[in-house]
Amino acid sequence: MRRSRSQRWLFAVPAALSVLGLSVPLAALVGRALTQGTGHLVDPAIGAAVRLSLATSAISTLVVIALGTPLAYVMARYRFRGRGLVQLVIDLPIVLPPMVAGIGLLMAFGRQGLLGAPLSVLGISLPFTTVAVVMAQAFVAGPFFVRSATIGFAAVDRSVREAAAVEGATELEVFRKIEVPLAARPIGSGIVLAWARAVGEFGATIFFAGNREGVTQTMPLLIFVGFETEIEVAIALSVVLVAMSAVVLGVLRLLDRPGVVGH
Amino acid sequence: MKRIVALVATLPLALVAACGPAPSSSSLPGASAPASTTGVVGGEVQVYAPGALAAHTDLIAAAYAAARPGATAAFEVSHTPTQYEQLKQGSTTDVWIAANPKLMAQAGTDDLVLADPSRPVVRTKLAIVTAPGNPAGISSPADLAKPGVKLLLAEDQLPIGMAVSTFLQKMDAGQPGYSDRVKANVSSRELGVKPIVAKVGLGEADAGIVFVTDVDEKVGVVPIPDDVNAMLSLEVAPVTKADHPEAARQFVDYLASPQGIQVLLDAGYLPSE
Repeated sequence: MRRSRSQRWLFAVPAALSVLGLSVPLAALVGRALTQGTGHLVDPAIGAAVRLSLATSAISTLVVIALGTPLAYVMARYRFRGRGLVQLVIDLPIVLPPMVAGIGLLMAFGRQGLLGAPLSVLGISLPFTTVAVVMAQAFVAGPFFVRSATIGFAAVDRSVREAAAVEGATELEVFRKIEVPLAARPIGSGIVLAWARAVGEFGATIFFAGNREGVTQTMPLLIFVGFETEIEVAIALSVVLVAMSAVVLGVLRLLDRPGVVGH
Repeated sequence: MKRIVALVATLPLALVAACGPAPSSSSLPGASAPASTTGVVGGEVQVYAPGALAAHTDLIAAAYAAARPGATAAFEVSHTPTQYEQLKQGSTTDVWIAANPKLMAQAGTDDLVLADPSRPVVRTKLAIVTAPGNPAGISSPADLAKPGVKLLLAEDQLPIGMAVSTFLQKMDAGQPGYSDRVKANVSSRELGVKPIVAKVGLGEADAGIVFVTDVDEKVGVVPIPDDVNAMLSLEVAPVTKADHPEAARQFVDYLASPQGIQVLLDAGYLPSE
């Protein structure tokens, strides 16, 4: 077989520039952090923010999986009136600035909000609580999971499903034993995207959940506060966030290797 | 088109002419532009302003444009510590208005601003804002310590946060334990005055402490007596690396003049000491 003339450099050079553009800011951050030492990591607010971020992003990702999987399945399988509108509702949070999500959540679930007003009669107040942090994260992260999972379900071969149905499998059995395993990789990458979005969430959180150490002050919020007050804390915590994200992404990539899940 | 280019080209020369002997300025037609005789520089001045001025930047811009025809001021409002950091990172904005005299002095020491002409402009002070209908029944600073009040304060290191800390210390002197009881009521440490006013205005929290010059019509206002109140001084200085040094000087001169200060006094600010 004849190989086409190699023009790899046409792609390799711009690709290398892209890698440089992505890695230089991170390298500069780590470099600066190394020169300032680890003294700033002992700030108790940092530990509280790391714990809160890990807990809330894990919970919000689980919420997104629980609520988003049926939605993705419906979007991939069913044809119904208003489907385009539903798709728009799913896509909008991806496009909108997170602050818009925060204001929207406040209008809906705030003490004077659409649903928040009746809730507050029952003595339930959501703003400025950890629950509000999870809600903000799930709202902005959910669409990433739903989009990815929808693509996964849509790609499952129709003949496989029909064969199972002919064998007498119920729709739930087909979903559990065929659809989900065959769509495992897109679902997995949807989970990664959603978690990544949740752990980095800032705008919606600061509007809806506020900023209180140990309750609603997640890592991105503490980084922002640090930039206002003590830049060294912001830098130290930024590096912690980078490392934490790299570890989680690395573990998920290991799980995603062929033979581990699905294929 | 050519005329515009010529005008732009002569402008820097006119500035040089104002500062000292200009090389062969007479050989250029139009070099003796009116700008050099009146000392008024047109064009835009870029101003970093603190959150404590957020509600009144349009007012200052309008007054400045009226007082100095042809000159305009564009404001970028952010937190004073953030702007200090941005100046440190090499920002070439023209003028800095700071809500923290210590940081302004530090910026002078760091040669980030021309500290010598840095001048006090006005002061503002704290007030309590309450949610529509005042659900928690706040009528004095003492009420902020009642159990169950949902209170919004600012982060400690912001100018507003430091002023609140001063206020809490003064209250502690009269009512031991006051600040601990107040801090137990804090729902969130907001990153500025505007979010506090907005969230209290929406009724999401019962009360907040802000600058009296930041309140809007949606919130109720409970004054804080002067003996326990904390004053915040706003100072202005030209930035050392300003893109438009002469425009910067002109704006600082205006804002610190009796005429410029009066604009802010009319808006509810207090005269500086």
